[in-house]
Amino acid sequence: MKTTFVSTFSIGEATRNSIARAQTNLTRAQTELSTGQLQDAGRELGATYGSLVGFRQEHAELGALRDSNSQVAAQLDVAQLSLQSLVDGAKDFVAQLVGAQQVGLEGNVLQQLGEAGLATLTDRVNVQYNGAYVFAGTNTGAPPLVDYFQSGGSAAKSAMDSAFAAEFGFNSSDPRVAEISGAEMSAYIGGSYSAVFDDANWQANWSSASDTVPNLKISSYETVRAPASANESAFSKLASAYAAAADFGTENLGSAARQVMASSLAELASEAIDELGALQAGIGTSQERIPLANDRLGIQQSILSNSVSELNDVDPFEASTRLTTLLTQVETSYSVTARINQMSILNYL
Amino acid sequence: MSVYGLMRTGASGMIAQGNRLGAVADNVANVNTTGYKSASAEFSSLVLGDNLTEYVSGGVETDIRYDIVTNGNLSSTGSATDLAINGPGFFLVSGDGEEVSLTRAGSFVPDGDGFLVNAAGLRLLGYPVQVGGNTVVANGTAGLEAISVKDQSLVATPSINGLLSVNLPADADIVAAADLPSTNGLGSQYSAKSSLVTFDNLGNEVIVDVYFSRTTATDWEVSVFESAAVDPATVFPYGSASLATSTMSFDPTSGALAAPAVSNFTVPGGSAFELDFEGTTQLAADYTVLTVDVDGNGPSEVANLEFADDGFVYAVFENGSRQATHRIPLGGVASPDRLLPQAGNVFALNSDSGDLRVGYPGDGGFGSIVSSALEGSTVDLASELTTMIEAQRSYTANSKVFQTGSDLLDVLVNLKR
Amino acid sequence: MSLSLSFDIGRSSLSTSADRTSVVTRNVARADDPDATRKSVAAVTLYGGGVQAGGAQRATDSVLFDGLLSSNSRLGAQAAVKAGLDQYSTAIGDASQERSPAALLGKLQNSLQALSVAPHDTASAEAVVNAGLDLANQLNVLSSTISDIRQTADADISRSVLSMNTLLAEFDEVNTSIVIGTHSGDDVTDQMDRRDAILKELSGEVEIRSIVRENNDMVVFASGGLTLFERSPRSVGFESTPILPAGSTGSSMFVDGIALDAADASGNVEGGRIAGLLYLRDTVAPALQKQLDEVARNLVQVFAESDQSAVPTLADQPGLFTFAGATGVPPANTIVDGLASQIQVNPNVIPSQGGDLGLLRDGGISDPLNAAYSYNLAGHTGFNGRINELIGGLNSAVGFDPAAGLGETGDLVSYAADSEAWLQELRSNTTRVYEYEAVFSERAVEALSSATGINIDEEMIELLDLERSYQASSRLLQVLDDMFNSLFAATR
Repeated sequence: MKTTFVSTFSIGEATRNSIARAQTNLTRAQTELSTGQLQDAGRELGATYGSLVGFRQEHAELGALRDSNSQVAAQLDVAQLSLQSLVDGAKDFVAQLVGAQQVGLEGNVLQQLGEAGLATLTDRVNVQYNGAYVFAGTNTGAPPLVDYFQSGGSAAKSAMDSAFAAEFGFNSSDPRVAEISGAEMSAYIGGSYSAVFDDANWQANWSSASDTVPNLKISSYETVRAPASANESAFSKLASAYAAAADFGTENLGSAARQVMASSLAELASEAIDELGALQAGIGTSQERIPLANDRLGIQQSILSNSVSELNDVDPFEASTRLTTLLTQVETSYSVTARINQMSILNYL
Repeated sequence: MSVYGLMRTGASGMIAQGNRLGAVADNVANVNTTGYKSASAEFSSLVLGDNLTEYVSGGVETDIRYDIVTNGNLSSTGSATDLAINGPGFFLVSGDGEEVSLTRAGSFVPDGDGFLVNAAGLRLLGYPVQVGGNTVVANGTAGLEAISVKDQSLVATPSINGLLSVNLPADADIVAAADLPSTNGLGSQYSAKSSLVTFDNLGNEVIVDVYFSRTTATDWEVSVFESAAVDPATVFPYGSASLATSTMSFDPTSGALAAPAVSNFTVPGGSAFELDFEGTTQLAADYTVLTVDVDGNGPSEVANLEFADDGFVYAVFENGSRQATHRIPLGGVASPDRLLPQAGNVFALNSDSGDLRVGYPGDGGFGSIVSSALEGSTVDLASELTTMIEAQRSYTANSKVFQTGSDLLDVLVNLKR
Repeated sequence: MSLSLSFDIGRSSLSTSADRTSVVTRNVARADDPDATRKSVAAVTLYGGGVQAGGAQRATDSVLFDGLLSSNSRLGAQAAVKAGLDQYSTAIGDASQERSPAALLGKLQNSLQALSVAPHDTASAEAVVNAGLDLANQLNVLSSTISDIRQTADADISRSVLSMNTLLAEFDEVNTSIVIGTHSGDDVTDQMDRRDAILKELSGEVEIRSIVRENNDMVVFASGGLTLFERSPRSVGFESTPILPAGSTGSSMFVDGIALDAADASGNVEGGRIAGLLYLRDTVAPALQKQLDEVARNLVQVFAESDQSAVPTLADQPGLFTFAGATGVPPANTIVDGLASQIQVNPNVIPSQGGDLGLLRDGGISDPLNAAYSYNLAGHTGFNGRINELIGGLNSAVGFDPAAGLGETGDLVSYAADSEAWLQELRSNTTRVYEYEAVFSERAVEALSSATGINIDEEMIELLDLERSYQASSRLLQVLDDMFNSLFAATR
């Protein structure tokens, strides 16, 4: 016969179980309160956990893009500055030429302008960012422009020399250059001289840059082109202007030829300035896109952060309330257990 | 009236009361004797003369009665071989080769030879259980033998009947004819399997595997194999062909067996065995064994004896099975009170008691057997003591009569002086 | 009614009180034993008056007991699966630790992104190689964790089977003594408690069902109707496979010659720890391994290098990611078992092993000496075409073997995330069911204990009751004694 509905074992077991469960929940609530995140996101979220992983991964990917964008932006800034400086130099060169033309081109002014321009050009084109030559196309490991004045002579110099010799039958350092007429000089500069700077010869003798300009990814589906390659005609034109001035704009040259040269070179340099401007505009467009892209990435990142928090974060107020409730529950359980254990008919027999 | 007659009458009264006191003494002595029936002395007057002018004092005659019909109080004991009868019957006991007597003292214990003997050393008689039942000789003791627990040792019973009712899953796949277990081919398929323990003639456990394989929507093939012949690696093929293959079909509407299904085979080394599948169903549930029961048992020592209230004596073997070995009959007579008590709490038949009737416990007029209980003596101490006081007073009164006679004679003798 | 009879009755009352007191004592002694049931002795009136203690009865409730057994089974199964999943989940770590294949793939992709804007940068290239090493290493670790889980499960099954055989042998003994005892009317309640306790233990290992036959003889079946015990225990066999490489199958557990099914028809795990372990070993862990293998195989494929000659003639070769004994790229859409455990970063790009970081950018990792696999013959340090191709490869859809259970196409990063989601969903479900079953099981234990267990207070009250009855009987005997005394005084 069974008259009661609860056994002694069952009383002890029930209180023990409820305390054990409350304590497990207590440690969980405590961890969640201190970290602000779910103690075991996988268990809580189940299949949604994939989204959490995805969001986190996408967030990191966007972060990586933003990091790399800052590099791209800096690279473009360096290129823009260099181009600006080249444009400024070229404009100065043109102004000097025009000014000098009016007062007469005395002595080696032309040569000095040319040498200075060439040095600036080489310096600016061979500008580096983060150890890579900015205007080198993909061949960032080697300076895109040769040092025209390097000791032992450069291929560019000898190409210039041989072209000059082929045209006039003597070297540019030959005293006979004084005999070159303006028409001859005009014909040379307007004719076979430009062949020295055509794409094939430019790449063979002057530039080691590659034609391929890498595309740089700035967001998931957007790319910008890296700064122009030194193989752009803007650079070769400018180089041809500077090189002509430096190489045979010497004091030995006849004044007529010098005049012709000055105006032709000013023209060449002006063309180069225009083309450099176009390059600058291209880089400028890219530069502009990067902050825009960054803004978008930032917005996406914050949306993703929100999504991650929504999935993974614990409301501190809720967690703290839960903790308090659990503490009360455990304390109640303790006192109930203690009282139940004291309660026995043996005390009254 | 004669004074001598008076004295004789007084003496007969004293003798009668002496008898009565003897009965009381016997009763008091046997107040705790199992199955003891109290004795009592009844008196009848003895009238001598029949003339109206003179009183001829007679005497009193004693008739010792035994109150055998009255049952003693049953008290429980811890021994299963302590037996009591709830009703009017008697156990049939006898000494070795002696005549059959009746008793209600059932405190039996096995003796050194395995016979159940009571406190007086008499053996309990019973009919050995035979296949087909026993015929009781209603008025004789033919066929009775002393019940012994010793010769029950190491008995093996081969399995003869079995019942296996299962539910076969109604959604089981149909097994192709070529793959049925009955073909005993490598990789045979089946839908469900169970194994049963059966016993061969020597009491060896023989496990048989029962395979159920669905052949059509409503038909199943049942194949039985000897489990020992199983191929340890691939199960099929078994080393020996299937013991039996039968089919059973189900009613598609109710899922019950359409016709009774049995599987008959011979247990290897054993006897013909009939496995009944009564109650088997084909319902949309998992394979479930509903009932399984196989008779027979392996050889094992008798662990103890069990007495049923209908008189069957079961030997309970150490392996848990039990077997009826004897049936205890009960005896009765027309006038139990006229039975002749003899030493050892037994009663002998005599012409007064009527002839012996033998029947089984539970039959009308015999009562039933109660195990682990003993019938107490029917003596009531209080009434014996009161009887004793009464007898003592009566004796004294009779002695006074005798003394009065003696005094009268004294007077007579002194007349002459 | 005689005075002697009253003596007898008084005596029977005393002995009954003593019997019942002994039962109360037994109850009190086992009050804290969860397997103990409450015993009670009914007083039976004898023929002609008097009282006798009847056979001890135990409180039972077969519905609650069956509920406890099946809850025990389900809990055992879920606990086994949960433990395996937890172990794997711990190896992966929390999402914030970013140790999962998905997170590490993301890191690899991000480092490639950094490299793509500075292809010349050795530090960035090194970062890529390190990310690759991390990923390959984690795939190896997870793969070995899975092997570990499977082998542990296998060893656990072996232990469980051993304990089942022991339990069945004990069951045999207890059952036989119950049958004999029931025949002869002995008190078998303690043996029945023990038999129920064995059933409880057995039910933790496999799902069981029992039938009680004549004389309390019990027949026990495992799920699927497999006979565990019928008169004698059936063999429960299992051959442990100590080493379980990916793609291999462990041996089945046999009950009475039939393999135990770990899952039901709809693919859900059956009850019992062994079923749970089998399910973990044969279903869950291999699925995780297959998913890892598919990640590894597609990683090899995405980073594979193709013949860059104008007229390609050579087969593709594994690039950044390769595996021991690789002779080519594994065929598409087909699982290569155990690839995740063999995947490694090609030593040709690891500087500490004499490799060249530049190959990452230029191609030719598979064979630095074979120019056919070079994507950057000019050797330009600013070349990022190959790197962008790899980034694209990681983001574009590739084919997966549907046998891995996660769809047929998708990009690698999402696939890895899906795999994790699959795991966590399973884990979350299993944990939820486990916790539910744990509570259910506690309730079942409490309910059964309340229905059949012992309450000390109640026993104490019964004891008071018995004390009173004993006192009354003694008093009665004393009165009878006095009566006889006066009778004896009269005969004096």
